Amino acid sequence: MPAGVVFALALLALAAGAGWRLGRPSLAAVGIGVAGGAVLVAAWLSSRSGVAVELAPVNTVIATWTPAVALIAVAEEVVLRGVLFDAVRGWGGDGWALAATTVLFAAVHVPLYGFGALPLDLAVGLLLGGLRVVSRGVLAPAIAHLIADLAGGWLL
Amino acid sequence: MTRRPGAVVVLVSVVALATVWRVLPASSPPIYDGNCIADPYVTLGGSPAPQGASMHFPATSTPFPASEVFTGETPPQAQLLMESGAFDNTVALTVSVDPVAAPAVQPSNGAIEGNVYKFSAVSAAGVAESPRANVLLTIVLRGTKSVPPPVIDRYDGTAWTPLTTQNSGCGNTFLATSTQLGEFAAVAPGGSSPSQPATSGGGIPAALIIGGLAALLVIAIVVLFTLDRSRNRAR
Repeated sequence: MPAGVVFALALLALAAGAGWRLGRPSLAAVGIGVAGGAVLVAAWLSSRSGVAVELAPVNTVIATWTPAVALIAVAEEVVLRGVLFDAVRGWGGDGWALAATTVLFAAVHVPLYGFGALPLDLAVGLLLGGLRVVSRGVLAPAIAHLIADLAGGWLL
Repeated sequence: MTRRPGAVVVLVSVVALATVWRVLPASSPPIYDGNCIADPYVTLGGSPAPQGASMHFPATSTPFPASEVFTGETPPQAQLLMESGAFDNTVALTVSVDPVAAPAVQPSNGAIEGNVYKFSAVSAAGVAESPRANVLLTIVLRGTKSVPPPVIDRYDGTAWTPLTTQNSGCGNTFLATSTQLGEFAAVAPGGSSPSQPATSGGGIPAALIIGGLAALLVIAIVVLFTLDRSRNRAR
């Protein structure tokens, strides 16, 4: 877990070093992000059968896991849908930015989950990129990403 | 690109997401990215030794609480999730999860990977207790790999029975439900047993899914570029 936190802090430092600054948050972006997160979790829940979904018991494991995962999800979005998206968009427009961030998002998850996860992460990357375009900021995809990741620990 | 093409991308991705979740191979992650930081799997007989866990439940008049007993590794190598009312708790109870030596009998649907864990509930008098009828206990075990996905088997003292198993996430973790306690293990498929349960998804080759998704992505991007270009021309 500490390694994950260090990784996230390094990503945020990289973003800050690249000149990325937090924009002004809007209520609309929060709403779009929450809706996107709900879609991600609903898609997962709809695929489950035979096992009831329960809330995880609160213990020290999940108490330390939660902030670490939140930090990592936000850091990934800041770098991918923030710094990288802006850089590629400046060079080739939103289309290339969407393509690059979607493919990279899927690719970075291969070492952890294997190629079997590639279709899912391509679809998720496309959704998060779409939220980035619709909301014109990184807040909406960050919220959606956060909700989806936290659901993985809090919902059993 | 304006918001309208962005909304098209979101819609396309939602359709793709729903499709992928329907046909996802069982070895896929349960949800998106739980930041899995998993310690190496610890095997019985090795050093460090795998941990056991137990929880004491005093006798009360209130229903047995929803509880979890899990071993101390990260993530736990074995977990037992119990819903409210899982046991009769008019007697004090100790629920334990312990790594044990594999029995001589091997499962017919493959080879045991990792440790065998004994899940038990014992009263203060030393009597083995069973869960209430029709109560589902959730058994969570770590395997040593996710591809091919292992199946959780239950050993009843004479034979192994495969249970319907699904991926549960971080560190090759898999879960199955059972109405009984006993010994459980993750079993790597490899046998020819017809009794191996079907896992969700499966059936469509991953290459086909990846190809379809890639095609969808290309189409979405081409549409977006076209929209961008026609909009720029109109300005």
